[in-house]
Amino acid sequence: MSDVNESKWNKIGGWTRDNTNLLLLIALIIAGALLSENFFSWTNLMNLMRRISVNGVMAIGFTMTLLVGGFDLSIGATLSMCAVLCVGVEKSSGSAALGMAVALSAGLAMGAFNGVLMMVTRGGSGEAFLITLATGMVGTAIALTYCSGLDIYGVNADWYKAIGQGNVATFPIAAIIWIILMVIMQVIIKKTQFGRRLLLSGANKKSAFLVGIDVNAMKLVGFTIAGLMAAVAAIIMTSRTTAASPYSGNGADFDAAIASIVGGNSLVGGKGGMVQVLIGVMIYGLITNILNLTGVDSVVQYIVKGAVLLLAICLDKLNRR
Amino acid sequence: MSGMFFEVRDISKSFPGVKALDSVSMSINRGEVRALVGENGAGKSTLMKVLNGNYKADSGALFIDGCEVCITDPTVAAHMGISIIFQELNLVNGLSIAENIFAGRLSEGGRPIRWREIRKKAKEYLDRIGFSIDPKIEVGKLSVAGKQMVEIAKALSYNAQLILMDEPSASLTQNELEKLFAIIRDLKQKGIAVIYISHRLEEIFSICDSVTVMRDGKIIGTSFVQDVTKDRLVEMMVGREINQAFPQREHHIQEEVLRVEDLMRKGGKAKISFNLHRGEVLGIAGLVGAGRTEAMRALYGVDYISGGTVFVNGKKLSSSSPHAAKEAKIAFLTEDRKDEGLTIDFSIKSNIVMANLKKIVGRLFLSNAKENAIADKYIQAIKIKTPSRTQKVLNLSGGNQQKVVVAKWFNTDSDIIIMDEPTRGIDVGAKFEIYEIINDLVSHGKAVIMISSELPEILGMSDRVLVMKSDAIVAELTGERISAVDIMNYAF
Repeated sequence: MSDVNESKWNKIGGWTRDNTNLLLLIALIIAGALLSENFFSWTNLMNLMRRISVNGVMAIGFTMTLLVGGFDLSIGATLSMCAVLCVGVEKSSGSAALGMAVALSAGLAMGAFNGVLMMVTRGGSGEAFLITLATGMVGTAIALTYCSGLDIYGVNADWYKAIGQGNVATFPIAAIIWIILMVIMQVIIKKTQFGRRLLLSGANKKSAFLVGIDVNAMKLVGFTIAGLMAAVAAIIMTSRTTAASPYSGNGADFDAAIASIVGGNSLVGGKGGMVQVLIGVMIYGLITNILNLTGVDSVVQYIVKGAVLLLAICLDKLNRR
Repeated sequence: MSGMFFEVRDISKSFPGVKALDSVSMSINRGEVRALVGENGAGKSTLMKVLNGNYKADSGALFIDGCEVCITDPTVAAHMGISIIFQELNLVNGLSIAENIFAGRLSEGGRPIRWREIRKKAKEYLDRIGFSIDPKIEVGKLSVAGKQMVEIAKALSYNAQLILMDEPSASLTQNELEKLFAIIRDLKQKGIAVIYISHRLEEIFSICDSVTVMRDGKIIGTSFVQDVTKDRLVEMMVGREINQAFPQREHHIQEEVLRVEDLMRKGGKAKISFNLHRGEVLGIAGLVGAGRTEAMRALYGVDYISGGTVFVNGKKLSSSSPHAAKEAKIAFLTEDRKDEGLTIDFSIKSNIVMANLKKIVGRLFLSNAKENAIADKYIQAIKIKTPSRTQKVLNLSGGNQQKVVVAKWFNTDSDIIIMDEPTRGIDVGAKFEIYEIINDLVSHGKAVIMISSELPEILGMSDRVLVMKSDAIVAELTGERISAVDIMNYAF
């Protein structure tokens, strides 16, 4: 009898360890409900979804670089760069579509540049840190140079504004874009040959190389997607505020990193996916939401967020034991 | 049973899903060399790790000279005179021999390190095992045998009374093995007890006093070596009789499938040329370091080459890369299965299908059903012991991990299968199964290249043998000429 109980507790213990992230999310939802009576109101939930979608899209990109066995600290700078380019080109050409196209190309180019550097250096996490730190500086400098350090206000076509502000049947378009991108990415990584190769090369590049997987190409793709996602995030962000600041991406890379890791994406590569992104981004959004509700100073908030990231890193390590 | 120096009583240890040790009891005298044998997954390594404090036993007790001791971690074990020499040696390659021997004890209480004294003491311990080398030399520059010597010196420096050796002979040449035996005899003279794990039973008869057989986490029996035969040991290990070490096969050598011309790896010392036929097992013999693995890595396109061509079925390989080689139906089972053969954190099934993802594509996406079906097919066909196909490969025993690698390459339907030390660190039963798999392959018209450091394996399995020495093929032996004497003559 005691044996049966023991194994049952073991199972529960194991499940708890494997799903710490989900439990944290549930705890935060309960905390949110206790703190504010209209937490569960549709409006509040939809507002939350709208707010977290920019970070959500960023976290998709960051997670892709984690999965291929690296990470990308330059996506915040790419976000700034794409934001000022998008609004700036829209303003000068009068075409929002052209602005978006330029932003997407710039994001793609930035991501691909990181990817090529990772290929050249045959890099792992160490190289990724330095490479993306450097390219991030370049990105920030490009953004500052392009707009001379000043905010740019766009003309903003209605359909452009709708991306960040509009709803489809009370559901924010920004969140719909985020969710669609996550679904597409999840199908690619979990359900296609290409995705499987990507995960395998992130988990063990030697064994992947020996079965003929082009490990370097996978890195290129992972980092390019990260750049592209930063551009998409820039478009959503600028359409919400109808303006772009060269500083708008400051800290956005860390937000995405925290969300990705808190959600349960492993730092060693090959393990994780969009479910973890969803959980992580919601956790991060709720923490911000709760801290705001309780009136915690925004600078102090970073102490809490930093602590959460450190906790997540420790949990990742413990789970790998 | 008086005077027993070291004793374990009723040790049990469980891992999720496996009872690795099931009330194991054994004892050993001072100066006794005890062999510990058993199939992979029998619990030998787990027992060693419990003795050394790497694992904590679920129940049971350890006694030294009749007093119960509690070994909580390897440091405690070392101070109690228990040292372990793992198969994958625990040395820091970038540091000197002396630094490795005295790692963690270079100075006392934060005083400056007295290098001269450290080196002098290191030299003393090295001299005691007859290893004359400058302790300033970096460990990374030593051969595996040399590193083992350093490990033994390190054990002596802790005043070890019991030394556990986990497959010390796995990567030693015959010469180096003789030296190791001399050292073990010397340790025995000094009253030091040794527990010697090996899959090579011949060694046990030449060096050990007694032998303990384990199977499925239990001790099956202990006896003096003079009281048992090799066949009896094998029988105890597998729980059944094995009549012959190598399965018979019909020889049907057909047309040429692979031709290698003037292939030279980058930085290599010689070019190699050879061919391979369908239905043939080509053994590649030679000493460790003769360039056998390197030649195959060059052929498969893992390492860079400085020249040469590879033809498969008369067609030149498009480029020198694993991708091109795999497309040309070549499979490569590397020596290092953990690092190169497997994605250790992934499930058995995803490892099995990873080399041929095309097979699991459904109508649009990867099909879970197809993946499961392929995994189940191989788990049954080559008897991979696991509770589930979703088990992480990390949790399998060495032999079962090797079977997963075999399954992975089988799944590519390759015509040419290169196996680098396919039975290394694998127990007798699993070895026989691997040999049967090889025979089955060639009987279906496939061609096998087998690198092996075990001569009986080369002799028993090969249709033709290439002997390599400093990157060159120095002899090609066929039929009657395949003999241990000839091979060793060319290899040295």
